Amino acid sequence: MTRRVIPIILFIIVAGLLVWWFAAGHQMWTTTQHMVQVKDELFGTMTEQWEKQFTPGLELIGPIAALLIIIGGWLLYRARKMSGP
Amino acid sequence: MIMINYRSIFGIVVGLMLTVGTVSAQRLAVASAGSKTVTLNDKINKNQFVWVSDAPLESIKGTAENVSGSFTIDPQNLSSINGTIATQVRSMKTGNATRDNHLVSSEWLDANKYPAISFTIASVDNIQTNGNIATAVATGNFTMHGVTKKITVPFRMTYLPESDKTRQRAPGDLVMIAADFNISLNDFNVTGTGGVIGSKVGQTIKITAQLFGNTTQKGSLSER
Repeated sequence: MTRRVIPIILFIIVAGLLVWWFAAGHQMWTTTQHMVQVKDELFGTMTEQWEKQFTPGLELIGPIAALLIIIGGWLLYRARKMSGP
Repeated sequence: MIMINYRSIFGIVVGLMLTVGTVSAQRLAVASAGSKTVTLNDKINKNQFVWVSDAPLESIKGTAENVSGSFTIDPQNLSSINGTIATQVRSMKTGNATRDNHLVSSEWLDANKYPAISFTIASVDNIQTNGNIATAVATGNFTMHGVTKKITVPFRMTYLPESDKTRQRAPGDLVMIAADFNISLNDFNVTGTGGVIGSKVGQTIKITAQLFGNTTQKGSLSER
């Protein structure tokens, strides 16, 4: 039972990582800052400024997700082999 | 007997109206007069160029900071604006340190060889004013990556005569310029690494300038 639960958890983590990456802007590269609009009250106009925010990129999420899929797949394969006839 | 030629009078009146209209279109409705030097000042607000590269595989937003420069302006004759604004290539940021390093490398903007990007205003046309706000088009020489090209830049300028409020940021009259324009990387011999331009980096870069300066030369009526 445990042999099947671990791969399922790993696949759920992979799905979560991909959802996070997509929701965060599905960028190719990880960024540690992003631009926000700030109103300049004196001039009555919007200006843009950098703000610290971690946004994962595919170059970070991709290898992690691939590694988890490989581990999960291998565990699932082993579980099936061991429970087989 | 004096013959009144109404057609001639109408022509003169219309001519005068057009002349006055043209002159007032180049004037800001502020009490400042005379030529002043406006120096960019980060204490007023952050001077920067915000740029966007849109490509099919990736959209990159970044800034060029360390903007310096000055220009002369006569609020009563905006067509006389001239000056130079420059930014340092090494100040460019995209929110990703590795990408920032690529940007200033010899394959891209080559900061060691071409440390600055500048724009020198040659003329200002199509001036429209509304109170202390003016819109116009500046034509000038844009220099990047060792290449100089003539470009036109539409801009919006807000002029704030010195007051208690403006003095909280900087002394003198305050000027804000917002401008949007595009440049083509091809025009400036920026080729990047093989095949990246057009797929991950846009051929055309959209640039928005946010410039803030204060008059550093006495002459505004509000200072007298």
